[in-house]
Amino acid sequence: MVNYPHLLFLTLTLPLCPLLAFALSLWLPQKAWRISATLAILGQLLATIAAAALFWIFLSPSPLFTSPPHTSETSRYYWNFVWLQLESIQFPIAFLLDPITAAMGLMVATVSLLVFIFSLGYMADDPNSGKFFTYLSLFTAAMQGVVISNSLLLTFISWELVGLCSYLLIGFWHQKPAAAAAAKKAFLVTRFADIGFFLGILWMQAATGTLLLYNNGHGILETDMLNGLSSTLAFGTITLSNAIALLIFLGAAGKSGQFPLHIWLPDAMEGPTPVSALIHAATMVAAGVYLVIRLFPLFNAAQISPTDSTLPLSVVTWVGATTALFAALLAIGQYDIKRILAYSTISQLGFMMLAVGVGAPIAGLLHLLAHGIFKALLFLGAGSVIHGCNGEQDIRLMGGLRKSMPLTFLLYLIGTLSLAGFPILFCGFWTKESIFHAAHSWPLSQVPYLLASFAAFLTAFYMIRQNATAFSGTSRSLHHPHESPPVMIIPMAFLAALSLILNLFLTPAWPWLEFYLERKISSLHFNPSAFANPEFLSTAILSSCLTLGGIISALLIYLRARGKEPLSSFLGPIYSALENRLWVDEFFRLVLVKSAQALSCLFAAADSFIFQGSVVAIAKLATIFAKIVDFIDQFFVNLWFDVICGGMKDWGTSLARISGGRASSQLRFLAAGLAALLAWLLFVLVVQA
Amino acid sequence: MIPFLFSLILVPFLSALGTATVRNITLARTISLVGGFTTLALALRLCAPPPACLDTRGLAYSVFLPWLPQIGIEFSLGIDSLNRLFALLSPFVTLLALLALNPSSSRWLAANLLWLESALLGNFCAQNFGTWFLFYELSLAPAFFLIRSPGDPNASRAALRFFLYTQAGGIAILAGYLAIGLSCGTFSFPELAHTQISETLNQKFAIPWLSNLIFWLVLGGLMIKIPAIPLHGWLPETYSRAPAVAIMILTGVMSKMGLYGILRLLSPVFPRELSQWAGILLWLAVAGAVFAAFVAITQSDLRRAFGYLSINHLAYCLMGIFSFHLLPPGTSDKTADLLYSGVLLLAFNHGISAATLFAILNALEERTAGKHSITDFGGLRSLAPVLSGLGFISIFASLGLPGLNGFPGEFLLFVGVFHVSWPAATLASLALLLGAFFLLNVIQRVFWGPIGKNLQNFPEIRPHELLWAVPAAAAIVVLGIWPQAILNLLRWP
Repeated sequence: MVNYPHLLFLTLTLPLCPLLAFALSLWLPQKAWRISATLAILGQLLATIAAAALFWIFLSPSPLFTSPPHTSETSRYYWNFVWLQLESIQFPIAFLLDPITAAMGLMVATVSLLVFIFSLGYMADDPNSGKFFTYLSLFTAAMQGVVISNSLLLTFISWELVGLCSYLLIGFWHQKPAAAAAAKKAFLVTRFADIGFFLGILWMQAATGTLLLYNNGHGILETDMLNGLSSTLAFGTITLSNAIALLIFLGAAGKSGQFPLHIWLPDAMEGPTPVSALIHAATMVAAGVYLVIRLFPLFNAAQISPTDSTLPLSVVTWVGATTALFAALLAIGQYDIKRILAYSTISQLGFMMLAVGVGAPIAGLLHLLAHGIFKALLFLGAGSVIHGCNGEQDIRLMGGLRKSMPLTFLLYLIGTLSLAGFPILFCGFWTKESIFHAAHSWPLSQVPYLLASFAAFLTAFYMIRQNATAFSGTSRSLHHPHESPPVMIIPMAFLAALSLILNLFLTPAWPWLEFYLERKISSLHFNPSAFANPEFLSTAILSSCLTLGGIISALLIYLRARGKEPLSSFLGPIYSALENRLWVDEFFRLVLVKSAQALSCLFAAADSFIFQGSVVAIAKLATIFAKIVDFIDQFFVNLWFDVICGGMKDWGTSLARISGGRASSQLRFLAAGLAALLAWLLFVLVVQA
Repeated sequence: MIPFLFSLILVPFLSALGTATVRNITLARTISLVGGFTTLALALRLCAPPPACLDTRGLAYSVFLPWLPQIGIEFSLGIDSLNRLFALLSPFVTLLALLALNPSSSRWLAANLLWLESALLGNFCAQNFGTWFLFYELSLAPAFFLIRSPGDPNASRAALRFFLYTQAGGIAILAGYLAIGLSCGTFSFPELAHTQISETLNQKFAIPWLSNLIFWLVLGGLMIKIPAIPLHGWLPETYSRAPAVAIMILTGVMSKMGLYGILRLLSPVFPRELSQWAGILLWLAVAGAVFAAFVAITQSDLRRAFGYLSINHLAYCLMGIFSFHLLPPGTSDKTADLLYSGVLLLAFNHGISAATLFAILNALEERTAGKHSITDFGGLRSLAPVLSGLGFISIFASLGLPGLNGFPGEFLLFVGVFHVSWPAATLASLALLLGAFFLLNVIQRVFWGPIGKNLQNFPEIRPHELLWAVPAAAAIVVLGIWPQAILNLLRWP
């Protein structure tokens, strides 16, 4: 008997509708690409409606459904089903619904829906557009699988399928060798990280015997199990929960492009731009951060006192802060409009990880949700720009697009300011603000806070650099840029409006979304005095100053730059190092790929000499043995045979001579025989006598 | 009425005879296909729950004929939980191979496929060593003829090497088992499982290390058959020379003969020796998995590369078997359950996905006059999307992607191995990454990228190819989503 079947139905709708669209459109030919697109959009629309309904449920009192009252403890539903049943052990597939699921599911569904609609315009002329929509559907279905999962097994399954879809979509234009290589790189880097995740799952199963997150007190995120995990030592002073959390974080870091595993993300720009929008906003990279947020109790297990932090959380903090700053630095040295956005994504993911690491998973989730919306807007904007400039992606070859693409410019500007965190008016400000607040109060160190603050300054700087170079000044384009069709502009407008509206729900005076996610929305009150809170003011003023400083300095430098790069002469070799992405890729290629290839050559040589050699040797031995036998046969066996045969022949001849048929000789033999017989009888008689 | 298992072995054998003797090519092909279908249809009876009346040894459908009763050799067949899956796998893979066979190819090939199927089925169903060995030897002849495609001196040499090497293994097994059977007075597997072989052997011959020697002889012989590193040397040459259709059976079913042999011939008989050596053997298997994955990366010949990938997957199965014997007695049977199910599930699914890989390779070779180097192709995704889609499915199944049939077995197996030895599982997971590296290289250079030279007239999948492609793809997808279908078959009353 399933409890709350209507909630289960709605929850399953999130992945199953896109999955159904995938399964149906898989069989359609390219000629029917419009049907594929319709199926994809329809499936996603249904999923979005279901997500909205689920989101509605956790509003208290729930107007749509008569469910039990939602207190902080009870507003979590889960359904566990058996997938693999062995004699003595079983592996479940399980689904989880709580406000975090609902909010994340809604964001993923909405952003995906808008990206799908945008693709209708962007991919209209592509010869494989039908397949494109097919893959997109599977992509969001897999991502929703991660979102609604209540078992690490289902998370891993969906997680790998997300990886598969990103592989297929990054390599969608596979005729380009660069795209094929980028897809492979993305899959391999994330799969390397996934091995950490996989081992974490194996260890969890070995240690606890379950992979369920929540299971009526027996799940791995519930107190009993966490106490058990955190009181067992894995090795050294590292507890079991710490070790498993670190392994799982490796997987999350790979998916979410944390330093130094970020290398796949900029290359992933080889895919069509709507794919980039999905990967960067809603589906792929969000999965890593979401997983760490979801498993926060595991990461936080065994925290001794509130002024301390666990090992995995410290690692998350430092990795996040480093990534935030590192990627922001690299973004300054890029000219490709999408690559700049790619590095900005990496940097923002670093912010999110930082938030989770310093113990504020909800702040991280808020930034993830807001970022999903405005990053999708930015990528669609970039897509619109590229579409308008006939495929040009270098911002040095754009310029003046403000006049030729006014709508795109306006919408892109909203995205830029949201990402840069323009104070008060744009949502990036509020979500980043709560991250700064949490990082500032981290007991162990202030360095991550300072790193993140500097990264925030750089964020404003590189976004305005990009915006000013591409949109202002005079046109340097060889083509004639044109505005995009409404089917592309309208989804962007939706996203822009969403990011502006979201602003209202994030202020400290009325932190509606935060209270919603923390399941205490019933105690929400409008409280304007929160603005005057000195704790809030101290971080808010600093970050506002940094952001404005970044914006103004970038405007001063780039508004009159006319496509040249003033920093390259100013910073010299440092800037060229940034342009070359600090040679991280080269490092990996040299150290890992080359050594793996060298090792495999070595092994292959050993294989052919030793192991295949042994077969040849055995075959040779057998042949030599056969030759020896042949020799023996010829010269010994045959020789004897010949001798015997010869003897027999002679004997036969003599015998034949005897039995020649002559009566006289026969009688002679008969007489001799009789004589012998008589002699024998006589002899016997004599002896007896 | 002919007993069920008799007919299961006889139908492919008789259709092999028919295929080989009939003059008319169309008729020969019809006979071979009807034979393959009938065998599979018969074998599907094994999916049903076993009959209520099992014999005293717990076997279903058992057949028993005295042969050399003086020394305990008998002709004995029977199904239990261990061989049920394998007896189901061989007809399926053989049928795929028969369907993948080019209609214009010689009937000799089809006849040998069926003959081999018959021998393999006999080997899997045997319940007495005499019967087992009879079919083991019987399988060598058709395998030899399959590999030795006429007119290619290299293939003849490869076939001879294969034969001699495998025969050496066969003799080792025979020698070992003669000592066992003669000292115990029986060659029947169910009876041997209840005797204390090691003690009997060592006492009877008064040589303390004799049981170890015999254990290693039999193990070595079986490892050649799988093949497992370091005794895999026959594989590269054989795989690069034999017709791709023949390799479908070699890798899909014949390799399972070795695995099954370890489970049948060694596990019940030598528990003490196995647990004594399992630590070393486990690491040997791990090293083999990593080694094979590394070697696969450098191979430019796709057949050899997929061969090494096969070695890699079979090494995972061996890891599971040896971990099973590393379990200290009295531990919870959960881990044993995981390992046992994982090994059989992975072996079964590997049979399907590896055979599909070679079927696709066969299709590629037919279209390019026998080319099978990774550099001979490129951009097939643009030329033949359906064929490439099939390639993607089987490649990702081999890679262990969740949702396809490679994953469930691998997952269960790794959970079990991790229970027993986490360093072994960790190192082996490196092989998972290397395998992915190799397989993605194949996709990048064969299916993606610019269209290769001389490939402009590369035909898309043909209707008759759908005959094997659809069942193979369906099995890969369905068993990936619903592995319980196979897990249920592992249950035995």
